[in-house]
Amino acid sequence: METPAIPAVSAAADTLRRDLSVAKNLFFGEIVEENLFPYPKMRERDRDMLGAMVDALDDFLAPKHADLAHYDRNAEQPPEFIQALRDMGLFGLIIPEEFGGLGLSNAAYARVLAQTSSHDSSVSLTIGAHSSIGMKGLLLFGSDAQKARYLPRLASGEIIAAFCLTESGAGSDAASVRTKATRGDDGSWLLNGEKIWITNGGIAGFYTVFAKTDTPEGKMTAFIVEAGQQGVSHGPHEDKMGIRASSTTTVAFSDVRVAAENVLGEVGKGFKVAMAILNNGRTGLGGGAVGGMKTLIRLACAQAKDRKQFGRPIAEFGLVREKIAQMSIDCFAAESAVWMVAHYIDSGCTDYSTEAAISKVFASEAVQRASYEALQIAGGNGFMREFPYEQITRDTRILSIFEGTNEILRLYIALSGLKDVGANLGELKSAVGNIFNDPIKGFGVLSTYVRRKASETTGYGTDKILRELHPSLRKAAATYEKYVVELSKAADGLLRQFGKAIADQQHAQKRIADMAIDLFVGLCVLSRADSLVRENHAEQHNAIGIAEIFTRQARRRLMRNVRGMTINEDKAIEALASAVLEKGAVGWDVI
Amino acid sequence: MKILVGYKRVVDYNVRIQVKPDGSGVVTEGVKLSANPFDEIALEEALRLREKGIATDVVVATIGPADCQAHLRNGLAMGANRAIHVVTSEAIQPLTAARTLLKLIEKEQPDLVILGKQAIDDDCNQTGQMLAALWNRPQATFASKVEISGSTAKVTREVDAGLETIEIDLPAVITTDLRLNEPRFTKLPDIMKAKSKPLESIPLESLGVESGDSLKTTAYAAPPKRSKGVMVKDVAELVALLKTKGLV
Repeated sequence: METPAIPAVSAAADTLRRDLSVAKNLFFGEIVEENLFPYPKMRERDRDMLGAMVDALDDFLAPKHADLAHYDRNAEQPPEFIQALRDMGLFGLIIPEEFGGLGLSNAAYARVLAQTSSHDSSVSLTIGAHSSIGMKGLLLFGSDAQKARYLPRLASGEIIAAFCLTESGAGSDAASVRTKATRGDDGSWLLNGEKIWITNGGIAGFYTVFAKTDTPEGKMTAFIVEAGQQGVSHGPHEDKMGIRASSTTTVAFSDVRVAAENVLGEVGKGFKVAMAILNNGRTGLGGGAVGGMKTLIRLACAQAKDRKQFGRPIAEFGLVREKIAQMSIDCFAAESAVWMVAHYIDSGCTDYSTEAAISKVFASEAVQRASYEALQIAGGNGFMREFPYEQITRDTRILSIFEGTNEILRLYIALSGLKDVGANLGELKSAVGNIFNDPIKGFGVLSTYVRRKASETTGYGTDKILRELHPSLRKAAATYEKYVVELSKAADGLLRQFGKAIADQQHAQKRIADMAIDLFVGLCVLSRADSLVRENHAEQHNAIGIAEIFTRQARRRLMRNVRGMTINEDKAIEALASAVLEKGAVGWDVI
Repeated sequence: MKILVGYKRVVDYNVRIQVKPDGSGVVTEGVKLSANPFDEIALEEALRLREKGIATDVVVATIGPADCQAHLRNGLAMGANRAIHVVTSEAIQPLTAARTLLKLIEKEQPDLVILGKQAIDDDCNQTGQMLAALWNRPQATFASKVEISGSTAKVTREVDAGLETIEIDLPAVITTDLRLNEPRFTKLPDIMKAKSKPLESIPLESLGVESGDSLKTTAYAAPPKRSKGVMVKDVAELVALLKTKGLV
């Protein structure tokens, strides 16, 4: 993945092995300690500014200044609010300073989105779809001329960007886009097709469009298209369940002439461009989820302390306290994983897509759990629209659906973990290269290698994390040391059992993915707790507590998933699903 | 025209103040600190005068500990041209603050000094008045409207009886009331630009200011908790109750 290497300054960067993926190595039973410890710090330049930025955003988005709930009910951010976002500089966050942007690192950008999301998700969507995906392709793959032409106007927000990949027939199966670009004799392209669910579709001036190109170079190509071009149009604002105020529309291209110089990246390499953008942009989504969780925790605490039943504040009741604690654990864990991934991106790591997928899956599900529990603590009030819970519940629901559904991402985590093994074998490279294009067919040929590799892994031991840890954290570390070996054995076992057919075993892949998620997120938690202990942070004892609880919870899930590899109800579940699907309904009643 | 703006750092107005267990002060560790709201209004007014072309140079100044730099950067991000940090680790009282500001006036020669009418931490409401007296220049306190023409300022003041409009010669001291203006948002690019604006640090000792601190704080205490009220049926019951409590 071509990511511009931003000079890293954190201590962890000194030993960072930029070519190694922590998550993929888990499948070999290895813990790449250099890439996990010490927990990365925010770049100094960004840390200096973030405090002031966070305060400025709190002021800007405070209810007395911005009626965000009203925008949600009306399903529109009024033009003057979009202008205020421009004036605040929120469209230039990640654009380099020389082009008029703020030049924030991925980590600082994710922190800004956490802050905007702590007020309102639609705001984060408008600025996030612009930066995380809309113009990210230009930043990653654009030519100097393209950058000079567009980045200054994108930084000021004069033109807002949108990412146009999804079509009615190409959702998770992104490779099957039907929007078509044909090359004319003069080298320019003629673009035809329709994209759906395009965030910022109605307000964008700059579209990153993916179209099918049947050229010798490849099947899909990315193009830069301006909204003002002849033949470009967008549909009405979609009536959505959540993130209602953010603009979502269809965008249609009818005989749109695109100049050859507006090809983004190389002709035929569109799929690679799309995946690089999505992987790089996931920390924005993760940061937003963490910001949402922090708001939910604040709301839940206030509610629990304020609300009295049976003569006592409900904050004294165990079932309420359990929810508060679990939300806090989830929040710490998501934050630890998201900013670890942001650090990989900022440090110029080349292989972080699996970690990025893990952080997206974990953070999106964590904030959904938190919104469910915070609403539950608020009881009947939580169900009333005058309280913020219902909007947050609606707004966070999209997070497990867009930018890759969590189901697809779980398969991706499982398969990419094993694909990496194959990448070591030259003759298999072409077979595994398209694994995400076609996760079903591109797999299976690796089993021999995996089997060999897994048999080489040494058994259990406490030698995988050499760093000296606080005794409580040392105990937690042993869990991860044990279960990475279990993961590599499980992967091996599945390949022996299914061979090529593993590609069709989604139940098994989910178990593998969930193990990788627990291991990677758990190791991030461990690293962060270790760093807080070392710096004698005021929260170090809470961090140790969180690491202990998270690890015990993860251990139970890991055990269940290991056992599930061999003992499970997959066949019975498949049979039942077939029966119900055939009928299209359940066939029983109490009459 | 050059304007000097007093820009004090205080515990944020949203924070619920807690007294330290030993009564030696209020808790400021781990607590959000921000600009005194009246001082933000003062800075906003100065920036508006600059935008109208009346002022050219807006200087924010604070007197406080070493970590006040980030606070002054906020003032620069809001739009001030320069910042002056008079560094002292000790809390000072209004007369010392006024004497310190007078030193800055002698150094900077501003045409106008705008201060908040009071700071929301100690609520003294004295520094502006003392400064005008020490400087021997006019003062217009509690301003809710300021119009500058030439070398005079027409200032509408919020006084107990309502509004009073006075005209003063410049240079002068103006202190701000809440209704003078609504401070602007700080924009993110301005936070970045503020990093390269000049910020001068001057140790308080080096200014040769004679301390005017004359009050000694013996202890801080939280206000007593209000006890629960009772509802009474009518006036008769109220009177009877007051009598039994010996209050009438």
